[in-house]
Amino acid sequence: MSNNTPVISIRGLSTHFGDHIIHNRLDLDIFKGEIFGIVGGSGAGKSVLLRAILGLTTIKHGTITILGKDAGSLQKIMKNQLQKHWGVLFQGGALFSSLTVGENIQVPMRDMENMPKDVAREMSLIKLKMVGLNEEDFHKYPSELSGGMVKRVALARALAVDPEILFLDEPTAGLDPISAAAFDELILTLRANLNLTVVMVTHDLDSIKRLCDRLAVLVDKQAVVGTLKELIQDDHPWLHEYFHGPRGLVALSELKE
Amino acid sequence: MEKKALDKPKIEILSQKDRVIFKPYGLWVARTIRDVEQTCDEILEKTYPKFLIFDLSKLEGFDTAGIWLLQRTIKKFEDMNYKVELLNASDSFLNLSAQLNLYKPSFEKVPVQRSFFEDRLVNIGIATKNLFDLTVNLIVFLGEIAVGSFDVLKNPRRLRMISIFFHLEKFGLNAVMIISVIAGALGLVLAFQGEEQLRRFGAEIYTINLVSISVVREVGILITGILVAGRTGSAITAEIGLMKINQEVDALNTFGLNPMEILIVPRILALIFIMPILAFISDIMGLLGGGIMVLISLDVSPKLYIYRIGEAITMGSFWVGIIKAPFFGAIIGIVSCFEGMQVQGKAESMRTCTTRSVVESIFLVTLADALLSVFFTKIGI
Repeated sequence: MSNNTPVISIRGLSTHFGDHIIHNRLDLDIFKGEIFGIVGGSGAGKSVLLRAILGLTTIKHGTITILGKDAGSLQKIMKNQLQKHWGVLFQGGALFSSLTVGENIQVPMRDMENMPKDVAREMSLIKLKMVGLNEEDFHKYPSELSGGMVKRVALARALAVDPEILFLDEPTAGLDPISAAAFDELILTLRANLNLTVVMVTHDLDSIKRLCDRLAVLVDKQAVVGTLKELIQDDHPWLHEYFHGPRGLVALSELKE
Repeated sequence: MEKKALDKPKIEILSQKDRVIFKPYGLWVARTIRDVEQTCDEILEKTYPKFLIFDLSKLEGFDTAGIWLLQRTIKKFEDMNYKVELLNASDSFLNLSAQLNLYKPSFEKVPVQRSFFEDRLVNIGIATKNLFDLTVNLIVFLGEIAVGSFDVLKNPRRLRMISIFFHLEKFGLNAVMIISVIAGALGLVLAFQGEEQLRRFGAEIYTINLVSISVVREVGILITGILVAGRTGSAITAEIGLMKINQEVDALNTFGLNPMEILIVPRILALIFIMPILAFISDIMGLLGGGIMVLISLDVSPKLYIYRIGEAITMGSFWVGIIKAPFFGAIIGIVSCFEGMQVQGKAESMRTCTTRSVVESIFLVTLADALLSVFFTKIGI
């Protein structure tokens, strides 16, 4: 796949809850190897957009093409095929509470009917160490983990079978600044080494500055797409408030002249 | 991508005089990992000259799983004193490989899990400790309810009337339908079975006595207790448990409001008030169900049926049934609220607490029913 064919391409997406329109003919392209941020105010439809891409909500209008396949019209089996190419980190981690950390990471591997047990065990431990945890945590249950550890285990699970696309829903929300920064670095390392495309929903301006190659800002039921530098120049009132408000000023101070 | 999936991983072996070259072909990824493992195991079985070369020029694709197995194989060769060299490895292969080297898994460091028997033993210990803690907690909880109720009694304006009426509707009105249906069905079955047996003695007319006394004294109230324990008790536990998980209970505490007064006392009071009414409805429906059966199979008129019931049931029998109701209500209310307050932090405890709530309330209701029955019979009502 060359650099100018999009990995994910959304055309004319419209979604609504009852009478409330969330997205109106939204277009979006995400390219291979980039870290793509999705930002927007509360209720702007960030999570809904992510759920639509993942196929968790049925879409009424528009098409979503992922890795060259129209995700909306796929049969169940083909959809499962497609799902093996991505990993998802849910906001709360969504670890299976009745399984240990090791077993949680092995869940996506079980789907590969050919994966021998010992390889699955070794791979799950490798992924666990990759996200900065160690052997001692292997048999722990999710209820014994701190918030940051839950996120890391969830990331290890999302990476379990080397996905091409990694979806992150507010990965740094609820982490202390040091853990959040470490998480950012982790994502960068993984992207460099695993050749990932990362799609992340976030509010964290520091994360955006550090990670994102391009951004989509959801305003007025549309997506405004550009690099951070471009978007800072944009004079849309919400964007201006977002990047030039009191919090934006601190986080982005070096990027402005 | 789909076409490539057919490319099975394999290794071509080229022997030269003092060395062997392995050429991995195909896709070395998680999807094909079983074939990868087989291939690796196969080449490990044979013996070679001292010098081995892995030529990766024909490797079509790899991921961490594939690289890991290749690394593992090379490591095994090196342990067997072979000299191994990589040839034509791409940059991304080397990067990922170096990355993986940092995260070598060592299972010796994974804490050993307990054996089955150790686990059982530990579980018995935990269960014993839990039982002890539970008893202590229950005593504390009863004390808190007493204090909460006393506060409300001292200052009746603090009684949450709106909350009580809201719960009366939820626990009472909404339960009428299911209780009616089940009590009616039970009355029907009692009449049917009783009539079968009594007919042998030519005493089938006493079916009416059998049905009316058993329904009014025992069945009506007991089935109400069990149904309310299952239906309302579980709902209370889940509701309060969720409030604890959401930290709503903590929030009340920080506002200086007593959760006992606001959450627990109204629910228990509502249950105590509503249970006699539900028991009465259950009695009536049980008699109605029995009546339908009796009318069909005994050929007595409705008027006669009602007359016989009046003769069979004394005021004492009726009150023996109804008087149990508030006790059952209190038991269900206290147990389900208590279990709700036992929910802690994570969602798993919700499951155990809700199960325990229903099991304990049904057990205690049945036990209380047995004790009260014996008591009332002994004092001659």
